[in-house]
Amino acid sequence: MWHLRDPRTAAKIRMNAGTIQDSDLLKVRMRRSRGGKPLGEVEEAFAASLTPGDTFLIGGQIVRYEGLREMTVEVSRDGGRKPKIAVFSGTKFSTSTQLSQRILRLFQQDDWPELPPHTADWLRLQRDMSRLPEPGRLLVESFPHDGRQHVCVYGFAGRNAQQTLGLLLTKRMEDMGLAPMGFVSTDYATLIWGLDAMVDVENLFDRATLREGLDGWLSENALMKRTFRGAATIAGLIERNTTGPKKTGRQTRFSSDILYDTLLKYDPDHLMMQITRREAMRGLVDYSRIEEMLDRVGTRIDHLPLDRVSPLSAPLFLEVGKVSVSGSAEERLLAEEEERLMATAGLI
Amino acid sequence: MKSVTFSLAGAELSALGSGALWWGEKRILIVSDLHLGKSERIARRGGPNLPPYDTQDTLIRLEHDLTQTSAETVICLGDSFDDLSAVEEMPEAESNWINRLQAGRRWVWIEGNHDPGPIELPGSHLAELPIAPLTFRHIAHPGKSGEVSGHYHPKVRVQTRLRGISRPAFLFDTDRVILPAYGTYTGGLRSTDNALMDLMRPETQAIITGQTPRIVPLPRGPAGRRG
Repeated sequence: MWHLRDPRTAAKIRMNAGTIQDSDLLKVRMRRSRGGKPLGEVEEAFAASLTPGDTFLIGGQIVRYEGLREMTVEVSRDGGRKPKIAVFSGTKFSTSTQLSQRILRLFQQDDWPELPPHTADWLRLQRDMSRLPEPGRLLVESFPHDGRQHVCVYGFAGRNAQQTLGLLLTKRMEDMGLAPMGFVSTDYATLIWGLDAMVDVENLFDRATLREGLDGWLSENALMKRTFRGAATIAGLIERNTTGPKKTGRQTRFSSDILYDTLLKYDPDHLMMQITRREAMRGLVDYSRIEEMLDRVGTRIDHLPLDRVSPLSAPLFLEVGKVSVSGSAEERLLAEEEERLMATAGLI
Repeated sequence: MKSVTFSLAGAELSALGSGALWWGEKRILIVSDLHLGKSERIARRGGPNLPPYDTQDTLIRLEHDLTQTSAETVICLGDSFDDLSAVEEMPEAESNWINRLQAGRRWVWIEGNHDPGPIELPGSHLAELPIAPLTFRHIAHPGKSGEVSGHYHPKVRVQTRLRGISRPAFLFDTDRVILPAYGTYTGGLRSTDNALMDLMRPETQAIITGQTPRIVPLPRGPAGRRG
């Protein structure tokens, strides 16, 4: 026989049982608008990716992100300029592999009279500036943008496989000393950004080392921490922001990361860790899908170093669900900032 | 051992990446806010059952710092235990572990607001400890100088070119240094909080912890007030 130590817990368990975790929303408010109506709501993950000065469109106006205060995103009016982040949209859906193949075949046409003019323009521009992905080949573009180096891999393997690929490649890049900072995946491509430019692309896709990475990445990747956070919330290990004093979203994430690291170190087979592993694997396609892609491609990897964002990669910048990677990049950014601040302050 | 060295009232101090402070001349290692037994206390008081490995993790890191420095004296700046029961109900393995760390060196427990007063573990129990030119206490007293304290769990957010990075940090000016919390399950107070802003001088600098500790001037003014 067992019973609850605290009867209040019963309500919490009932509320959490069978929960489909909703993404936490934060209210967006004009700064210094005392109690005025909020402009709208954005997902917490989106808010966490903003830096002061970023502009985005909400409630029909362009606003500038000022900061996160309590559970509110504070913004100010920003007249006239184009928003840096065009739109915030929460939906994510998958296309089938057959559709992906059809898209690849469509790309091979000389022109696209059946498509709307702006879409045809977009594809023509991609063909001029870079090239269009082809069946049986793997297109990889690399380019600098906004102070970072980017690599875009057009695998057309579906969102899950592209997500797995993102995890494996960032791990591989970290080992190669390229200081990756994050990635985002769609059904057709994975975009990775970091501090250093990619040169040796063949080496990046080396089958044996990628395989090796697979065994190691699972426990230490950012996606696992994110999954753990969801599982830990449902289990009641960390509080959801429902009742009582509100904590900021950042605090919740911070503490769930510490819990994850602690369990990983001292009790890796804990039930919560088993759940997290199974849950994370469900969102990732078997490695065989990636091997299949590599088989199909063989050595036909086309690496195009460009001087700026390509038309086809541009939509990836607006994609939600960015996974951030922390490693040597943070150490290097801090070192850089230390030097800059000390020089500004006249201390060195 | 990577560290950042600064001087306070003429004493040369090294901030370690782990959050410990090393006074090389006197061979003293200083740590603050260990909060041993925190997960146990939270569970006992009806909070969530967090993984109970925080004490173990804190002691492993402390042992590492002790091995690295071969310190002759250890000063714990208070809030070493989360509360009285956390000491009394500490598993034997852990209290033995602390005994082992204490062997062959002087050990001082400074009292903090969480600490229950004298405890059974060996070591001296003091409200504060002066070792010229410095004074060690739990909470900083405004107006004092040469002071080494903890309590506030300061953390600093550095806005780098591409990403804001927030970490526990040492804060120091010409009068005092405030140590970050050393314990594993300890949160932090933004350096921009008024409690810290009022205490520290405008020219305060921060040393952020991590693989390599790094020194940065503290962001101030309206821009710095917001995280």
